[in-house]
Amino acid sequence: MRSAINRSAIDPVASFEGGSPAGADRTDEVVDEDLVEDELLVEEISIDGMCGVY
Amino acid sequence: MSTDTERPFDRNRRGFDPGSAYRLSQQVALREEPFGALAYHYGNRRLTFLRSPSLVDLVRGLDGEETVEDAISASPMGERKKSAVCALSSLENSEILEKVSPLESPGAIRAAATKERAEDRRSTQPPAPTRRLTEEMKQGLDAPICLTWELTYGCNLACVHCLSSSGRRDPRELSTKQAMHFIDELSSMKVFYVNVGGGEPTIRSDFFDIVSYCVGRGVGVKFSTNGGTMTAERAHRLASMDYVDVQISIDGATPATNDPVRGEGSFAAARRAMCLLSDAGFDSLKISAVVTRLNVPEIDDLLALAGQFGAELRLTRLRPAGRGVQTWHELHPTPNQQRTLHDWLKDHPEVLTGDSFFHLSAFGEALPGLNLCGAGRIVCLIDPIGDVYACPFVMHPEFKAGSVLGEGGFSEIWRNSDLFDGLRHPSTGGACNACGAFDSCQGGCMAAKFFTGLPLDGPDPECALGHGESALAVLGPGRRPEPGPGHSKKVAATVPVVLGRAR
Repeated sequence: MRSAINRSAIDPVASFEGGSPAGADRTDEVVDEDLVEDELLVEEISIDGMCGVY
Repeated sequence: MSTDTERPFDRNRRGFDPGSAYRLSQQVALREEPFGALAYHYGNRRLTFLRSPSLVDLVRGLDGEETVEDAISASPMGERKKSAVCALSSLENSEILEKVSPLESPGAIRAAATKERAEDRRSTQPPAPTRRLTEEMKQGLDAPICLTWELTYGCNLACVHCLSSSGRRDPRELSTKQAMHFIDELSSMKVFYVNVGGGEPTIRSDFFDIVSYCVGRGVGVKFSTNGGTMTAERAHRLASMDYVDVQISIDGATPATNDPVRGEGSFAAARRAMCLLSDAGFDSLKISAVVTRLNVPEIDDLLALAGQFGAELRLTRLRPAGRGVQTWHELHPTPNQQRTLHDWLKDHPEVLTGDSFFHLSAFGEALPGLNLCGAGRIVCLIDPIGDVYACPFVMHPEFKAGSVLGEGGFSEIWRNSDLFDGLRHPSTGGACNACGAFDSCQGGCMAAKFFTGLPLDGPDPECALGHGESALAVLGPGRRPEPGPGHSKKVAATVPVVLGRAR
């Protein structure tokens, strides 16, 4: 089944969840803020259904 | 400012492995745009935006490196390794990238050339843009994401809401040769797919030739049909083709609801076509329904009907265009039904709408999609004789931008049309600009305003806040534009379109 048509900005920060070893959280937080400031580099939008035909 | 940590290349939880080789999926078309690139996956039909030219360069460079790590180091993103890994991980998750097996690993054969190209770009690329995606879309893309192509005005039905008032074929229809030349142009512009309609497109004797040619040139096809011409042989032929979606048009879950709009016997014909396609193993089937006052109560049943055939349900908004100029006022959903529809769509994200109902976002919660008018920005319409209009719902001389047969062809129109330029750079937001909901609904649908006689910078006639109804109530006589003579069959042309009349 295809994915839902959600506009789903793929947050690169979220994609790294669980990857932080103990003790590295603070550094990662700073880096993550940097990523947010960078804007999301990858954004996915389903356009399935965009058509214009009855 | 932070720098990359010592762990920029960690394997992340989804299994993306920067120590391995990846490449652009063979099912993906990548098209560069000023903000980066669009990637369209023909298998899962997802559209992904790569919002940095540097990232695009990195993705293109993957194919020449033994590992992702090598590619990043050689790319303009070499100093932002963690961002690069995260972005590539997202692309792998969207199936834009695929892992290369060790046996296929390209080695470093092309690495030197790739690094050289990356070095060139590293010194010349501007920083990644940070504008919101919708702002990028509003100013237009280098080519449409998709476009609607009405192959013929000929039709075996005479639906009361037909956008193109179809019925009779136009002797000036594009020839097969002209159609294929146009497809060549779409291919070179990297238009991802075309929405083929009509009329009933399958009545053209060269219909399958055109579809096959599209697919062969890397342009996907979604076509809408009322199903009347479907045969077992045609269903099997469609099932054997890649990148072709079929949308069967049904406007109600029962003949009693559907046939007054689409014509007597049309529900049975559509259902028969779905059976044939299902029996043939066709797996990209959709039911396409125009939401009307009549079928809102049946919307769950429409979804269930689609489920019976393993199909997806696509809903689209009724526009007051074509023969719909005459029937819109009695067919369009009531304000209460619009609210019901909005809430239902929020609860059913699996239902496809393709941005059709972005005007309903003013109810408070945005619906999935870009939520903007794409006319002349990301979509447009080609009519059967090759004329180009801003969108499928405004087939009117005022929104005609030219002809694909003209000098410069379609690409010249798309890139340099004054009409499209005006749509991409509107001078004013008009009365709606002062409304608190404008950011949500963007003022609604241009076509719906135009054909109901409302100003283009005013409210949508179906404005969720009721401003459209108020505007319509005080609209002076003669404000509604004539839809034009249309292409209705001569018999139908002498008989007023009456909702409920069997055709």
